[in-house]
Formats: sequence, C-alpha cells, structure tokens
Amino acid sequence: MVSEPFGYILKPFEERELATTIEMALYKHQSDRQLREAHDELEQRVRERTQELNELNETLEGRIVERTAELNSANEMLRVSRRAALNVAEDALAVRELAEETNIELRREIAERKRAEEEILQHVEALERFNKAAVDRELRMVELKKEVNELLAQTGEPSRYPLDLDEEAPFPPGSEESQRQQPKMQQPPHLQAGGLPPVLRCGAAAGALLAAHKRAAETGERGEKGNLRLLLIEDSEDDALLTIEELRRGGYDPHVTRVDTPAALQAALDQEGWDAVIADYNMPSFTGIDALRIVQAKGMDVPLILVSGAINVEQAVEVMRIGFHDFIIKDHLSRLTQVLERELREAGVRRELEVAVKELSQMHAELEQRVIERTAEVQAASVKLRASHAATLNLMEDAVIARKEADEISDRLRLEILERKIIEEALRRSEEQLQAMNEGLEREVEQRTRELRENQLQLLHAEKLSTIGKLSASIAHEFNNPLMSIMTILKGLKMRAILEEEDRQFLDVAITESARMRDLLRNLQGFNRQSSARKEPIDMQKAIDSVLLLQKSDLKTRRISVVLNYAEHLPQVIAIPDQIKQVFLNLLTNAADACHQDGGEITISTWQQDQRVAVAIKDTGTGIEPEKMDQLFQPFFTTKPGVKGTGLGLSVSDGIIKNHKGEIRVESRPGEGSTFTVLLPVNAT
Amino acid sequence: MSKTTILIVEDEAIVAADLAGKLGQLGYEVAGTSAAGEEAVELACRLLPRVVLMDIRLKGSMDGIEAAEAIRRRVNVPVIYLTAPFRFRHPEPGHGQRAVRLYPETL
Repeated sequence: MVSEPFGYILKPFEERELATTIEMALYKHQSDRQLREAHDELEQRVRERTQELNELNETLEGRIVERTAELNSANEMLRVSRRAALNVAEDALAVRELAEETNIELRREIAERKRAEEEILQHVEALERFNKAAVDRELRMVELKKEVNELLAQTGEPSRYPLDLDEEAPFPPGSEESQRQQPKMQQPPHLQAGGLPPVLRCGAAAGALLAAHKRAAETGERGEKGNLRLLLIEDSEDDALLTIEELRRGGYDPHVTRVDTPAALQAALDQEGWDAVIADYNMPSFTGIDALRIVQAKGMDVPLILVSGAINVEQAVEVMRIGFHDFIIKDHLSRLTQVLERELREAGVRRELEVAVKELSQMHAELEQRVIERTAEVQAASVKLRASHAATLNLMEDAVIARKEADEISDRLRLEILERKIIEEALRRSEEQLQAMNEGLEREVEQRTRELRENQLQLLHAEKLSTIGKLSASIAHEFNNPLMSIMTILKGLKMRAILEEEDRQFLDVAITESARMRDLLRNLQGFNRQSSARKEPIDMQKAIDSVLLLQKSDLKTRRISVVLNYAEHLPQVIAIPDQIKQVFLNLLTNAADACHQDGGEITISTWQQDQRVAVAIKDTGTGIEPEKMDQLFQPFFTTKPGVKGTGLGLSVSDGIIKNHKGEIRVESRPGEGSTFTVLLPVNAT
Repeated sequence: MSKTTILIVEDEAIVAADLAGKLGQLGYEVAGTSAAGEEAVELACRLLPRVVLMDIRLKGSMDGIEAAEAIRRRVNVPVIYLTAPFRFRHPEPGHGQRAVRLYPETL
C-alpha cells in the first residue's frame, strides 16, 4: 500500500504553484495531525471513562457481595443464638423438674425417718420400762427375804431363806427333767416367732438389720445351746470344774478360760468374743468386785455373774448395785444354767438394741448426709437455673444486638444502592456529554474535510486557468514577433509604394487589423502576467473589458449581444487582478451558457454603492429555479448538461470574492433570466 | 516564526538548483538537497524538514514513491511529488490512479 502524497508540482516550476502546493501540503499535514490528535484524545477519553465506569461497577458489585455476606452471617448468628436460647430454656426446665422431684423424694424420706425414729424410741422406752420393772421386782424380793430373815432371827428360828434368790425353782436342781426343759421354757418371748414386733415395724433398713441380729442371736447364743466362750475368774480348779460340769449338764458346750489374777484377766479380756463372765467372790489375789471393775473398765457388755461360797444379803445387794447381773451361791450351783440363760438373753436384747440404735443413728447420719447432698444438688441446680436464665437473657440481648446490626447493615446497603444509582446517573450523563462531544467533533471533522476539499478544488481550477493563461501567453509571445514584422512591412509599404487609392485603403485596413491583433495579444499577455498573488489597485471596468476581449468572438458566434452600462467615475478596488478577472470570466461564461436559444443579451452595469463597487451581469437566459438557489454556490453543483460544466465556477468565484471581503448576490426568475451582482469594498486591503 | 524548511530530492542538479533558488525567493529555507532515494530518507530523518519535495525518477535503486513511503514510515513529514506533465499522459501502472484522482481533467 503506497500512501497518498501531499501534492504534485509539475515541471517546469512556477513560483506561485510551488508556494501554493507547499502551503497546501503543510496545511493539509497540520490539519491531518490535528484531526488525528483530536481523534486520539477522544478515544483516550472514551477509554478512560469506560475504565472508570468498569472500575466503579466492580467496586460496587464487590461491596454488594460483601454486604450480602455480612447480612447472611448476621442472620445465621441470629438463628444460632435463638436456637441456643431455646436449648438453655429447655435445660432450665429439666433442672427445675429434677429439683422438684428430688425435693419430694427428700421430704418423703425425712418423713419416713421421723416415723421410724419415733417407733424406735417408743420401743426403747418400753424396754427400759420393762427392765426397770424387773430390777424393781428383784430388789423388792430381796428386801422381802431380808425382812423374813430378820423376823425369823427375832423369833430365834434359823434363817429360813439363805440368801439364795432361786428357791422357787420349779424343779429341784439336778433333775434331768429340769435341766432339759427349763431353758426351753425360759426362752424369752421376743426370741420366739413374731418377736420384737414394734421394732420390725420401723424403717425397712432397720428392720432388716434387726432381723439379721435376731438370726445371729438364735444361732450364736441359743442354737443347740452349743458353744459358750466362758471367762471363769476362779482360783479353785475344783470349783471351776464344778461350774463347767454344771453348764454341761445345762446343755452348753463351754469353752472355758480360767484366770485367777488381774493381769491374766486383763490379757483374757483383750481377746474379744466372750459370751459370759463368771467370777468367784473370794480369791487370794483379788476379789470378784475387783474383777468386775476391770471388766467394766473394758466397757464390755457381757453377762457378769458372781459365784460365792457364802454371801449375806447386804453383800448381795451391793454386788447387784455395782454391776453384777446376778449372783449364785455355790451350794445352789444348779441355778447357774437358768441365770446364765436369762442373762445371755438380756445381753442379747441389749446388744440388739445397741446395734439397732447404732444402725438408726447411722441411718440418721446417712439421711442427714443425703439431705445435705440433695440440698446442695438443689442449690446447684438452682444456681445452674439462675445461670442459664442469665445466659438466656444474654443470648436474647445478643439476638437483639444482632438484629439491630442487621438492620443497620441493610440501611447501609440501601444507602449504597442509592449512592450507586446516583453515580450511575452521573456516569450516564457524562457518557451522553461525551457522545455529544464526539458527535460535535465528528461534525467538525466533516466540516474541515469539506472545506479542505473545496479549497483543493478551487486550487485546481485556479491552476487550470493559470495553465490556460500560460499557454495563451506563450502563443501571444510567439505570434507577437511575426505580427510586428508584418506591421513594419505594411507601414513601410504604405509610405514607400505608390498605390491606387483603393489599394491604400486596403493597406490601411490591414494595418488597423494588425494593430487590433497586437492589442489582443497584449491583453492576453497581460491576463497571464498578473499571476502573483499580490493585491493592487485595479479598475474594474478595464478588467471586464480584458475578459470581454477574450470572449468577444465566442459571444458573436452564439449571437449574444453585450450591453455595457458603465458608471462614469468608478473608484479603483484593491484586489488580485487575475482572480477578479477569473470571477468575471466565470460569470460571463455562465450568462452566455444560460442563453442557449437564438442568442440573447448580456447587460454589464457598474456603479458605486456606499463604500463598495458593484458590478451586475444580467442575462436573458433560462433563469434558476427557486429550489436550486440554495445549492448554487456549492462545489460540483451544476445545471449545465453533460460535461459542459464542472460545478466549480460559482463556488470558486464565491470563495475569491469572500477572500476580498465582498459578496455575490443573485436574483433570478425562471424563463426571464438572472442577475449576478458582485460587491467589493473600495478600501479593501 | 522561523522559515519553513524544505528538503529537495531531485536527480538533475540544474533543476534542483533552479528549484532551490525559486524556493529561496518565495521565503522558504532549503534544508538540504539529495539526488538519491536512500540519502533522501536519511536526510529526512536527520534534518526533519517541514516538507519534502520528491522527484519520482531518482538516481540509485529507489524511485521517488518508494523513498516517500520509506520516509512516511519513519517520520511524519508531508511529501510532495515533482514530476513532468507528460508522465500523466502516459501513466505508469500504480501511479496513474493517483494522478487521475488529483487531476480529473488532464491537460
């Protein structure tokens, strides 16, 4: 692709052509550059705006996405906290229910315990009463016997009642029958079936414990009357054997340990598990009373029976008072089994009671403990309840805060959207402005292009004219020399030759015609000579004449007459002569072309109008239709048929006259002809 | 403003001298003269004239149109062709179209 050049200059070079072409090229180059720059700038601005818009959009979209995510997370938080609050409330409810259940249970247990305690106390009281009654009875009996003995002593009778409290035994001692049956008959009522009824009615635990003890008592103490671990405090081996024998006879299988010193007694007592202790009253190392003290010091609750050879009533009362459960005279050793039986029974009852009381107190302690524990549990539960209540409140507060935040966020979002809309509106407006600017620029470009094209065409036409001028100038020059020769010869011939009058007249005509030809050639040369773009004062009428001279023969051929209506004193006008001549040439050609049928008339008038010179060229041609008047001065607009017209004449003429600060006016009536009036300022510089 | 600088590219020395003289009279400044296309391109790039007047027929391997194209590719300087009128009467292929466009009515 070869680019368009900025112009052509034809050889040989001519100054004006050179200058014009170079200036045109420079102008064209500059305007090209300006156009390109304007275009580039426009594109750059459009690009910038588009980018701004895109960035803005991206930012806005990013922010919307962000806000939406925030909103979602806030909503999620709200949902979670609501769910948590519900869970906590449920927990609190469950804890409260549990606490109520525990309370009810505790109350029930406390009530049960109170009832059991009451029953036990009643039973203990009853037993105490029973014991006291028994002791009272025994004491009373001893007193009675003592009184009887005193009464007998007073009467001098021997003592009827030795201090043996067992004289009323139903069977004589040593009787087989008594040895077998007595213990059975002496079985305590409470050890038989259905014994200890009040105690059994107490709390289930106590009842079970008591039942276990009952069984233990039956097997350990009474069952087969078997094993009996007996601590015998006795100095006499024989007495000990007697005692053992007596017990064997009573149905026991005694395992006896005999001691006769306090130290041995202490040692024996350290081994636990004794069922009974039988002590002699008089021993060489210590007495039965001493032994009792030692046993009591150990805190052992076992039947303690004193065996004595002889004892008076005071002594008997004394030993009962200090703690022996019973005493037996050695002579009445057969009573031993019966006494031992009873004491074992009572000791069993005492142990059972003790155990029961211990169990009860333990149970009481356990219950206390459980009450304390339950109370603690209830307190803990209520603390937890309070905590969960507080937590629920906190969560609700959080939820309220979260909702508030969500509201704020949505407010902000609404604001953002509003902002975005405003920005979009502004952007749209600026885009519109840009669009308008773009359109304006495009219009301007179009305008410039058109102007440029016009100028170029004017220039072309001027060049054409210039070429014609040059051609005619050279023709004129070439013709001038021969013509001068012809004229010189003719003039010489006229002076020298003797001629007929008729011939002389012919010669004069030839000389006149030659002079006319010389003027014509001179005019032609002049037309071409003033080709510099320099303005100078010119006489308009002379300019018109020189143009008419060139056209005279053409007009004559077409039978068009020319009427000159010149003003007498017309001021000169400062102008470029050949351009002005070109305008008149164009206007005359147009006028002649308008008269295309049977000749016509062209009237050329000149006058002064204010500070302007006016030249009117009026024809009797076809005229111009009103709708074409507007296009008259546009380049390439022609009404001439075929290739006759270029459509440039009036356009170029108008340009020239405008350059001279003048104007061309047109009046026309279709069918009657047109008048073109050229107005040029007198003092145009 | 300084004078408009012009680079003349013309293979005939007399024609170039005549042209330079005329341009001087018209008030232009002739930046340089060259008879060959390659040299013309180099001068155009170095002197950066406002206008290049380019003969179509040149010494060397390049003709004026090629040289103008080479200049156009390098620097932004308008190029005006110098040519004899007869070239348009017998346009060579590739040149005639532009001539016809510029001169719709050949002489």
